[in-house]
Amino acid sequence: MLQHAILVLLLPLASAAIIALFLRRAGGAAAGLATAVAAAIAAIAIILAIHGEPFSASMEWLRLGDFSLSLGIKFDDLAALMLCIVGIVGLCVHVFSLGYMHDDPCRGRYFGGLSIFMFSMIGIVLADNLFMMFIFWELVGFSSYTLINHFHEKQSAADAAKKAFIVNRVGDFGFLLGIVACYWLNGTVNLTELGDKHVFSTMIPLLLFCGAVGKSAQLPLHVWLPDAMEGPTPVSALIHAATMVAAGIYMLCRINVLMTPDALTVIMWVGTATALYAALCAITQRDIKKVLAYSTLSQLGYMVAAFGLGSTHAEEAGAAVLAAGVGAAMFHLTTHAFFKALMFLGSGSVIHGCHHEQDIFKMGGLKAKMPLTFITFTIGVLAIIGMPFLAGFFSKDAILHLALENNHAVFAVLGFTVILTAFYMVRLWILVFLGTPRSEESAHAHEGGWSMTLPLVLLAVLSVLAGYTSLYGHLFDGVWSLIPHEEGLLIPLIGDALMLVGLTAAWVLYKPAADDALAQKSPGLFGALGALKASFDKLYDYYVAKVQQRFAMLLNFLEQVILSGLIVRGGAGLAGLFGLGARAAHVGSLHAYVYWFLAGVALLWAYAAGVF
Amino acid sequence: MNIDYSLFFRAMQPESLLIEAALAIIILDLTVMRRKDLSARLNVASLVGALAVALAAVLALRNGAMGEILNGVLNLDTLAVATRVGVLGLTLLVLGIGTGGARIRNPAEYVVIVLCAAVGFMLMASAQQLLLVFLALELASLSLYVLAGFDKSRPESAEAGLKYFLFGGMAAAFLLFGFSLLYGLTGTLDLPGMSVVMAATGFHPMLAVAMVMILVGFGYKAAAAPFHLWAPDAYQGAPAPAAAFIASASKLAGFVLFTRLLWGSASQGQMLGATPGWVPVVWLLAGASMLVGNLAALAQSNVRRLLAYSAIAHAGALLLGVIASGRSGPGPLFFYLTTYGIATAGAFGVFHVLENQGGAQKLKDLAGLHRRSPLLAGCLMVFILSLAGVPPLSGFFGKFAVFAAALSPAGLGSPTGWLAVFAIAMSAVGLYYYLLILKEALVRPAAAGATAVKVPAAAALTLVAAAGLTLIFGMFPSLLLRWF
Amino acid sequence: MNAGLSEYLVLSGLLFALGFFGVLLRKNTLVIYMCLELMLVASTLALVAFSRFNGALDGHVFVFFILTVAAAEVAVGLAIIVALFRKRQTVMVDELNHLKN
Repeated sequence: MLQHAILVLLLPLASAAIIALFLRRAGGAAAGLATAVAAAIAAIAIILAIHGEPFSASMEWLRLGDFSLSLGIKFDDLAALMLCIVGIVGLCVHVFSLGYMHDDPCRGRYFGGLSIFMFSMIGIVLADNLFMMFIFWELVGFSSYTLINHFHEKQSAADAAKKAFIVNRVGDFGFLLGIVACYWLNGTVNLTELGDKHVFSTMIPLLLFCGAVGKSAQLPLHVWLPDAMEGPTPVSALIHAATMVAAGIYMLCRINVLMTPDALTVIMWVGTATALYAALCAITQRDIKKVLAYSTLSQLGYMVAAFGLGSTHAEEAGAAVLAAGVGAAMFHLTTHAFFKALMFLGSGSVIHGCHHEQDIFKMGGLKAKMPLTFITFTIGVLAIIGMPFLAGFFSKDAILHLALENNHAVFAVLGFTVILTAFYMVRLWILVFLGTPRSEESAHAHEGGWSMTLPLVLLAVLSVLAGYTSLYGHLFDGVWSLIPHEEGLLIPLIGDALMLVGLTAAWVLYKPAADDALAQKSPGLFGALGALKASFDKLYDYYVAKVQQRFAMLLNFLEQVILSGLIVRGGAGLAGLFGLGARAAHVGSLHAYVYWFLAGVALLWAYAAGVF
Repeated sequence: MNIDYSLFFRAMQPESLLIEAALAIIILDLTVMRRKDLSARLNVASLVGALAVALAAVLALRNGAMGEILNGVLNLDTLAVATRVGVLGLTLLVLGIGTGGARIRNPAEYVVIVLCAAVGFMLMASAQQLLLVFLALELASLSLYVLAGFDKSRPESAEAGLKYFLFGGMAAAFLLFGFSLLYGLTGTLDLPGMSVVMAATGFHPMLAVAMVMILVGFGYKAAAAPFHLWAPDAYQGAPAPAAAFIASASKLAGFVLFTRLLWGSASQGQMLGATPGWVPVVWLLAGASMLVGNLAALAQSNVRRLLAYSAIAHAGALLLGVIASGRSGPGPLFFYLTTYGIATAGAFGVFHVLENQGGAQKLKDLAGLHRRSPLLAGCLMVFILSLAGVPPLSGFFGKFAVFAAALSPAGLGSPTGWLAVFAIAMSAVGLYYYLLILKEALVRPAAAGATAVKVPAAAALTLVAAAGLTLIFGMFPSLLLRWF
Repeated sequence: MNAGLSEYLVLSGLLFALGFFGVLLRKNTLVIYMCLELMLVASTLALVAFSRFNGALDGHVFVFFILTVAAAEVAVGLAIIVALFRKRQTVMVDELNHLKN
């Protein structure tokens, strides 16, 4: 089995290398190769999952005194589940891309990027220590950067890629500090060894959580994800909905033994706040992908909140409750990966059909033109809003159940978010598929080829079935057994009632609408929601433009003016200080250097002599 | 005093080979190549020089660690052998990127002086006596002054040479005065003997004076703040290969020598570094360098000056590595030095190729490089990301190893640990200006009328090799670290 | 009267300071260069004095090498100054400020 795991890790790397070296110009061959590799990955992932035995292996990578790092694989049910998600969604996205990117001149680069992404993502899944995870963590960041930047002729795409990269670095900095702190306190970063011996410190999980905040786009580092929609739509489905952004949640589940109650409380509130904030933002969006992006943010917030919730009573109840968070978070991650990938690919199909129109107010009436996309997308919408007997229903109930048990405030917020989710998703669905076409493009919409519809069907089936854990047989038992099971019908009833409220509101408001009904009926609320969305971007722009740039300019000023201006021109005073007259009135810059030299020498002497 | 001269000659084989090659190049240039055009003369001289350097590296490796030679004047331990090979590798890199530059008017002399500087660096790597330390330093420095002012077609080159020379001369005088005080205090010129005497006599006020003077001298060589001001000018004005040499091999040899001065070689236990006062002063230099280098780099619009400030910032991190190597051994420091040298010399190589094709040195001149030359853009990306410390490139691992070494003895319980945290925060700042370079090269469209860049074959080969090494050392750091 | 070690050291320190402030204050590159040499000479004086009072020869030997190195430095330094003069027609440091951002 170890050979299978190594193979699944190295296959996409080989594919990326071959594409980079030989197939840059041969887009068709590159697409075929990458897709074949994705299929192989999905197959091997399923074989590994069916085999099911956990195993681990590692080899020393380098040794530095008493410090050593290893490369290794840790395969258990958690990794198997994540690997299957990555494999299946990855395959769907590759197949979909065959059609979607068919006319793109840079297909080679695109599929090469996808292969690198698959490699790095599988690396995160299989890594057996935090350091190795960090390396692949950076690699997914890099591949995400190149894929967002695919249409780099567009300034907005280039800016979005840069933003994603930089914002992620902020989170990664915390992640790295967390790894260092973990090594320092525990003497190891190996995930298995950490389970046996570890020092409880709130600092470590919180620093590591910084990495998840960046990658899973939680408040306040969420700003990159909506912009990342500048990338090709299948990329958004794979990276910015199903897998990479979920890596943060996966990482949290991997390190759950390190958690402390305080850290979990912070994590819970960050997730809850993100869920609510993003859902509010989603209501005002006009761009089909932006709606889905904010919806992804919101759902990721659910998962993070679930992780934090399950474990708030870790002190009393020990590992069992702590694991409930892992179960609920991973369950929702699984179902969300399928239905969100489905909706993103569906939106890709819509965008493709409408000749790259993304404004939902210019769509409408696509039900008849694109029936298959309509049906599958509808399944996705119903799944995400929590319609009974679809996948999202079960996973969301598990989270709400945890919330009701542990923290009523969180339950209230998440419940309200259920209303919002139903509202914005149904709004999107009505505007895109019902009514009459509102633009030339949508009037001539058409269904894509088999390569674009097949993945939709597969994902739609999974979006229906993924919630029934009994269907998996004994697969992933290690994760499913952790899902909290509620007694009675209270939670499903509350959840469905809330969902119906949102659904009805959207239906009433948007059924007849040709323009944004909420904006007309309640401009104040609409404006406030828009401002809420813009507030973070403004804050960061302000920081970069005003604080950081000015600071750099100030330093330049110091360097140029104080150094070569004041000291040189006004050097008379300094020279007078040394009692040597005013000879320096017209010296060149070299003398300024020597003055600094002198100042440095004096400072060092003073320091060495213990003056301060 | 019983001196085994055959051992000495064997130990000096690589150095003598380089000197012989230098003479051969001069003779060749004055006889056979006399009437040929400049680029042919440069290519032949570089080829002979490169062959000699490669052979010298083989000899240095074959001789291996020979221990103390000439009653301890030279100490050829593992660190010395590794540094010699590292210096020779960087010299190869510099020679490789230097080809194809049509500007240099005396190509043979240029190669000869590069070889002389390499000899100086190699002696610095193994010197263990103040007289030899001084001679090796001066041989290397004088060669570098000449190289900085070598391009007679540009007035900036001469200005850079002069500033580098005057500032360097002053630093050398400080260093020498410090040496003479050390000699006066201990009565010996041998570093190991010195530490024995100092351990016996204890602290003396004059030692603080000597210590600061020596640190000033090394601070200058390392371009540590506040002795860094020559660096931006020299990096900007000097011919690109010379700047690459100053930034890479010179740093490697200088820091190794500094480490040896502070901590001695592994077998001898602690030396001057154990004296009170040394380490705090180095903290000060390191912190100031990281602060000044990283922040001033943010405001630069000239790529070479930007790299100079980045070099100052890296000097701060390297000084941290020097402090840490007192406990952890020189492995992390050496790894950092070598990989930093490769990346920075490679970046200068890319700029050299561009400048030879008429491009100036402004950041915006890099615009559209990915279209004009994907090869250069790719190599530049590897080098810059490595300098920024992005995994899996070697620069990341160098930083990681040095910071881990600085943190491992006491964590945040000592100022060294805090300095390491400061360094990590500062490298996050550094990422910003490195990305500025990459943004110009990889994202910006080319200016109207920009043409494709022709990369000379030797330079292309060298750059690809350097980029490959940057990647390989990043993924398999043990290749370098297992020496220690 | 016999001068002791400390007198030599004070003299050498004064020479060094004189050289340094010369570098700091003079404008002519050639004079700055001479001041650099003065700093080197100050170090040699200290070395000779130490060597004499320690009763060892290695300090003297060091001085011979320093003199040789200083001669080489003259060659390099003057060459650079001449090269610069050809381009700029000046040896004044305050006119050497073309290298900036």
